[in-house]
Amino acid sequence: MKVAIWGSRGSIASAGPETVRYGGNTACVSVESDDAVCILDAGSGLRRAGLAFTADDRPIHLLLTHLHMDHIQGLGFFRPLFDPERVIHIWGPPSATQDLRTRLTRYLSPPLFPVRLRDFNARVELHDAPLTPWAIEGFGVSAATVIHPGSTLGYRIDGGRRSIAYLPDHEPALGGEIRRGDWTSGHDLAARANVLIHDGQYTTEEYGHRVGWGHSSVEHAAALADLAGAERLVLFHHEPDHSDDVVDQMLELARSTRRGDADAAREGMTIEL
Amino acid sequence: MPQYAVELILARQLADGLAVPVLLVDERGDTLFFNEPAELLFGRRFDEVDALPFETRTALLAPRHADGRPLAIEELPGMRAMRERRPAHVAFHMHGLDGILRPVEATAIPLESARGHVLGAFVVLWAQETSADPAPGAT
Repeated sequence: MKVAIWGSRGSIASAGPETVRYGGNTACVSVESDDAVCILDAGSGLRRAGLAFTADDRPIHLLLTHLHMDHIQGLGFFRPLFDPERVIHIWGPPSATQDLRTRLTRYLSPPLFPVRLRDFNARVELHDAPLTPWAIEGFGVSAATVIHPGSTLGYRIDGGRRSIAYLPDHEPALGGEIRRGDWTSGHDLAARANVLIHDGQYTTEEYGHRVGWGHSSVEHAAALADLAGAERLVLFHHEPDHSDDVVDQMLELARSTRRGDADAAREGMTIEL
Repeated sequence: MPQYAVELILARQLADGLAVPVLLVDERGDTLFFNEPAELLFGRRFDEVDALPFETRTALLAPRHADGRPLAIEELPGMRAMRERRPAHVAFHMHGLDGILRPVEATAIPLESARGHVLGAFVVLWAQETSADPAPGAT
């Protein structure tokens, strides 16, 4: 299993000299096996991922956690969607009132975007992510609703005996103190994962001003990782106003706070599992 | 123990912050949580009741009709709300901390997920004052 980070920023792309090391593109992570490519979220980082997978004939599955713009904005620039020879599966969160196509079409249609969903040359198969684990070309995939405004999923991908959990937008602290697994959002997805890619957008002080916005402080991310027994925490969804130096400081805090390993996602980072 | 649905986690957190008595039950009617105002009403701390099986908990809380007959499980407001998939209001009697059989009213709201699954019910309770209740401010 190979994991690659194509976009690690949260909320809005934030290119600039102060974000060069961790990158300015929004959420996009690929998870590859010999048989398939799963891409977690379709933020602006998806454009470069598309270039990398254009000539690749493995099936591609896009797993969307939710439909906020920083997680879908790359769709219109994902080159494999314009390849008539391809079938692209898009999995997303359920809604009580509208199917995934209707919700995605809000963005993928004028006046917000010139290209409609039906204009893609590839055959696009849309799916509500199921409640129970399912298989994608040899991967075991699980999805669960997590605390974030609107219908939002976290994912877990198991391949062989290795696993990655991906909860990029998540505020478990809104559900109470992070101390009991059964009462903590995201716990079961993250349980004993080899890699936990998790929202670590805020400093403690920032979180105090943004309770209910759907994101975590570094301490909360570390607390969940420890509670769940995750091996390696990768801080993700970096605050767009945070420079590389600030992310460095937050990473140091995570490393000093948690019992296991900690890292911060940066564009171009790869993890072999 | 597996993690509860996030809707139940948020409902518990909401209940924990409210001044009105609230009981949270799962899809089979088992008590998941009640808040401090409900502890006063039930005469039991949640931590005491937390580990008990469904039947034992229900017997402990012992909701009754006005004539003393036990309220059947399927008549409980949370069970009705989940079965009918709409809010349910039930008046019944319950022994409080002081041993007085006190009239109580409860309104239950079914908690249904975006996928249409009934996960539990959020039950708000009101204790009706009785002649045995101390006057406000009495010590």
